This record gives sequence, structure tokens and C-alpha cells, in this order.
Amino acid sequence: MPWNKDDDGKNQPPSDRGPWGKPPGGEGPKNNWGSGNKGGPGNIPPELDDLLKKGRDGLKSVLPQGGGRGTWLLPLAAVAAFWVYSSVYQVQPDERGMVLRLGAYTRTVSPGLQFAPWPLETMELLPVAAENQTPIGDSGDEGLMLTGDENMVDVKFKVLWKIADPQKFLFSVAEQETIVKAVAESAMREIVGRTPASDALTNGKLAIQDQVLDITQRTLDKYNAGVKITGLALEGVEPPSSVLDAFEDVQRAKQDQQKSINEADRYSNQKLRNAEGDQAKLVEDAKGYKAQIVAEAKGEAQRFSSVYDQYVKAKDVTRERLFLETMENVIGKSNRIIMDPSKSGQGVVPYLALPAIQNSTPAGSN
Amino acid sequence: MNASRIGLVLVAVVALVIASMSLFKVDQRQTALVVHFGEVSRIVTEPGLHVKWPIADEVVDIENRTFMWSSDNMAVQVSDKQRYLVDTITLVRILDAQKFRETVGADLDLARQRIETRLNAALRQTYGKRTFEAALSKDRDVMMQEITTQVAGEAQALGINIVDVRIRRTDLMKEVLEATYDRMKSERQAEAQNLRGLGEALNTQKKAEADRKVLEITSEGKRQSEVIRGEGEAERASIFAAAFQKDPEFYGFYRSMQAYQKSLGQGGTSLILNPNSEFFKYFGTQKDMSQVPTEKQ
Repeated sequence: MPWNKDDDGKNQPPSDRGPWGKPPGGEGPKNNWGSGNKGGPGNIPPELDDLLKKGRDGLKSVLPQGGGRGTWLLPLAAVAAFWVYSSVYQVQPDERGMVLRLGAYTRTVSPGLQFAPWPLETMELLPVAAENQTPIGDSGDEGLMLTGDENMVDVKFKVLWKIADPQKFLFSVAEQETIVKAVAESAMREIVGRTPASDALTNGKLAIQDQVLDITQRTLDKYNAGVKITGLALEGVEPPSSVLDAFEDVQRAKQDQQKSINEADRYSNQKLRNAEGDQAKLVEDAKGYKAQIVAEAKGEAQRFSSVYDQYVKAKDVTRERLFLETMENVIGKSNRIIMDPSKSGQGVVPYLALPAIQNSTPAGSN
Repeated sequence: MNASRIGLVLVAVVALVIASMSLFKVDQRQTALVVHFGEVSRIVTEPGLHVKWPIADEVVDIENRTFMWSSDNMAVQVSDKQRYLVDTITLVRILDAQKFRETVGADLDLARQRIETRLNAALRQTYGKRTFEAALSKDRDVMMQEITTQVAGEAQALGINIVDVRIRRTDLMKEVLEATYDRMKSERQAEAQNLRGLGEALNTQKKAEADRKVLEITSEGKRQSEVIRGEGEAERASIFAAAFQKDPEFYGFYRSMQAYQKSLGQGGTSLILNPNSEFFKYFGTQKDMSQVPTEKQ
């Protein structure tokens, strides 16, 4: 607060210094009373003109009339302008103004143009309606946490919080955002430390979220922090990067397994359909064979019956005729050797080589 | 006229300087120690404007809100000898500004050093009593309570109230961390291997099952085929039997004729024939001819 010109610098509000004299900035919430300065010289509201004029008129009446009037007026006007500039505050719609009179809290003021006469009073602006987001686990290995089964997971989350009680927020804790972050991280590690890695990585996330939110809120309430945790966004729970590949390989292995099973299914489907075809063919072939032999048998039987019918009518003649016709056909087509076994006395054996002789002398007797 | 005006201004300036030296503001968020020649003369907790002796009194502002220290990478050993690194946060509030001033000269860093030494000891003691599993999860609340109690005494002597001590993180030592990563990796690799192996086992099993079913299906086909063929043959036999039973003797003759015709009637057969056979009964001499019928009769 550059306009805050305390006499010896000792009495600066501590929020500018942090608890042990750190320079301001960098620590507090990002939109914490930074935006809430009193509308710089560029946007002095129209009322200021009136105020300036009034001030000048007042001075006029107080100061003795006479020579050197111009030389007096100019620095006085500058001082008055500076005073007004230091005393008028523009409280934004999402803010509350905390007014301290000589360092003691007196009142909270609503959005709008507000007046706190300097140096008697100072105002601090708190963005009560804004939701702050504090990310945890974004950088480096901040998010690496030990799980209940002594594995590591990389957790990334955001704490969403609001100023619930401006008075508590301002007066009971210093470095509010740092504390919110530390408490939330501690709670997350506590809960992850109770959860097995497999749960944390898969379906345990909601439960983790709820528990962490609960612990964080309770702890902050214990500190009277005046902070309301509005939400906890668990953005990612992953295996640490150095083992990520092994985890992904498990996913690939699942797919390989499915592929292997599918391949076997394809194989067995093909084989089974073929076998069913083969089975049908065997059965059909057999049916064909049955039909064939039955039909043939019927034909043959019929043929015999027909011949028999005629045979019954003239048994001897028919029999003789059949015999002779057959013999005629058989003997007529064969190589014939006629011999009288009663004369040779030795049967046919000596003549068994005869066909060979006959073949070499085709002119021999037929 | 002019001189009196200058005098007035001078008086005003002097009054302002004296006022600035003898008045001081105390913020709501601070406690002020008024130090009179190096001695704490009074403590101002009431915020607002206060009066002091110019020059002789010095004002020291002390934070009266709760604030946080983090203490990182403190090595602890649990009951099963494993070592870990612990980060804690300590929430403190200066309750007794006078004590704070007298013991550590209102020096926060000094106070912090002393409290951290105690904290370190308390941490080691608290962790040393427990297995890591307990420390990491179920005993955590109790442990934080224990540590807070142990540190609180030391802090109180310095005029500081320990609002809370929280374990922020408990980490593995670097070399253990590497081993943990290796273990996690090998566990996943084993799982992947198992999944793939299971896939292959299922593959083999399913194929073998298919092969068995193929055999079952084809042999069932063969069975049915044989049954049907047998039925056909039986029917054939019964048809033949029915037809040929009428005259078995003639059937024998008739069938023989057919068989001769079939087996010998294709040519290329050598026959040695006896002229005395029935086929030749009219073959040869007249005497034979006259003889044959008589023989036959």
C-alpha cells in the first residue's frame, strides 16, 4: 500500500509483511485485496470533484484573506487531493471492505463507493464471493504419494475455497492460502496412505475426494481460518511416470489376451462348422448307399422272380437253356484246352505251363 | 504578522514531530511490546492508538494470528528399522509476547530452531514406536496428537502456543523409492505376463476342445452312416431272402450262372475242360452220343 504513509513505518499492517517480515506479494491468494485499490487517479469518480471543491471552500474560509493567496492554495489543494485519494475506496461487487480505525477493526462495508478517512481509518478489501483455486501436485514430484500398500501414485488435484468469514479470515490466520494448501495436501496424503494403490487408481477416487474435503474443512475450522472449502477437484491419479509404461503394458496384455481368445474362437468355429459338414456328408452318403443297395436288391429280386415264373412253367428246358447260354458265353470268350483225364491219368497238373507255350505260338490250336 | 505566522508553523511542526514520536498504532493482528531502554515495560494487546515515551520507548510488533511453519525432510526410523523422510507443518501462535521477547528476544527464527529440535525428537520417538503401516494410516491422528503434546511444552516456555502439528508427507528414502518403483514395475510385468499366458492357455484349451468336438461330430457321423448302411444291407438281405426262398435250388443254379457269366465271361481265362462234362455231352463220337442219354437217364 504505497499510499499508506505511516510516520515511521513500524505500524504497517502485518498483512503486507507476512509474519516475519517477508516482503509483500507472492504469498497471498491471487485475487486477494490486490484488485481492490481505490480506483487510481485515472478513475476518480465524479463525486471527488465536489469533495475537492468543498475542501477548497472550507480552506478558503479558514485561511486569512490577503496577499500570497495563490502560493498557499496550490500545495493545500495537492494535500487535499491526496487525502481524498487515500480515503475513498471502491468496493467491488464481489468484495467486502474491512475498515480498521487506527489498526482496530470497526466495521465491514458493502460494495460501492466507501469512505474511510485516512489516516484515522484504513480499509482492506477481501474478495468474499470469488472462488479461489489452489492447485496441488502440479509441479515436480509434489503429487507423489505413498499408498496404503506401499506403492506410489501421482495425485493431482485442486482445492476450491472461499472466504466464509471475512473477520476470521483476516484476523485469525496469516498466509491463508499457504495454510489451505498445506492442510489439503496433508489430508490427501493421509487418505491416500490408507487406500491401496489399485483403489486409488480406479474406483476409489470419489471416496478419497469426500474424505479429504471433510478433513481439510474440519482442520481449517479448528484454526478459525474463516475458509469454506467449496470443492475438491481430483484431476488425476496416475502411476508415477517411471512405472507408467509397465502399467500401460498391463492394458496391452489384456488386449493381447482377448486377441488370443478371439483367435481360438475363430479356429474352433471354423473347425466345428467343417466337422458338421463332414458329418452331414457321411450321413447323406450312407443314405444314398442304402437307397442304392435296396433298390438294386429289389431289382435283382424282381428279375429272379420273373425268371423263376418262367422256369416253373418249363423247368428242364429253361434250366438247360440257361446253362448252355452261359457256358457258350463263358467258354466262347476263354482259352480252351480240352483233355480227357481218364486217358492222361495224371490230371491237369503237367499241363499248367501251357498258356505260356500257347502265347509264344499263337498259331496253335484254339 | 509574518513572523508570528512562521512561529505558528514552527510550533505546529514541532508538535507534529513530538506526536509522531510519542504515539503508536497497534494493528488488530499484532501485539505490541513497549521496550523501555531495552526492558519490556508493557504489552499492548488492545488495537488502536497508544502513547509512549519518545526516544526512550521502542515498540516491537509481534504477530498475534496463527501462522505456519513447514519443516521438511526429517529422517525417522520406524520400529521395523525402515527409514523415511517426514515433512510436517506446525501451526503456531504467539500467546505470551513478553515471554517470547525474554526467552528468544522476539526472534522468530531462533524460536523456530528450538521448537524444531524438539519436533524432530518427538517425530523420531513417535515413529520409532510404530510399524510403518500403522504410521502411514490408522495411527496418524494419534501420532499428530502425540507430537503436538510433546512440542507444546517446549513452545510454551517460549510463549508460543502450538495450535497443531500435522504430518504433511511421509516419503521413502531415495534408494527405497527406486526399489519400490522396481517392485511396482515387476508386479505389473508379472500381471501382464500372467494375462498373456492366460490368453495363450485359453487359446490352446479352446482349440483342443474344438478338435475334440470335431472328432465327436465326425465319429457320430460315421456311426450314423454305419447304422444306415447296415439297415440298407439288412433290407437288401430280407428282399433277397423273400425272393429266393421260393426255390433255393433254382436260385443256386441261377446265381451260379450269373456268377460264371460275370467272372469268366470277360475273356482272357484259360479253361481246361473235361470232354466228359455236361457241356460236351453231345461232343465227340456217335457212340458217345448214343451213350450219353442213356447214361443220363
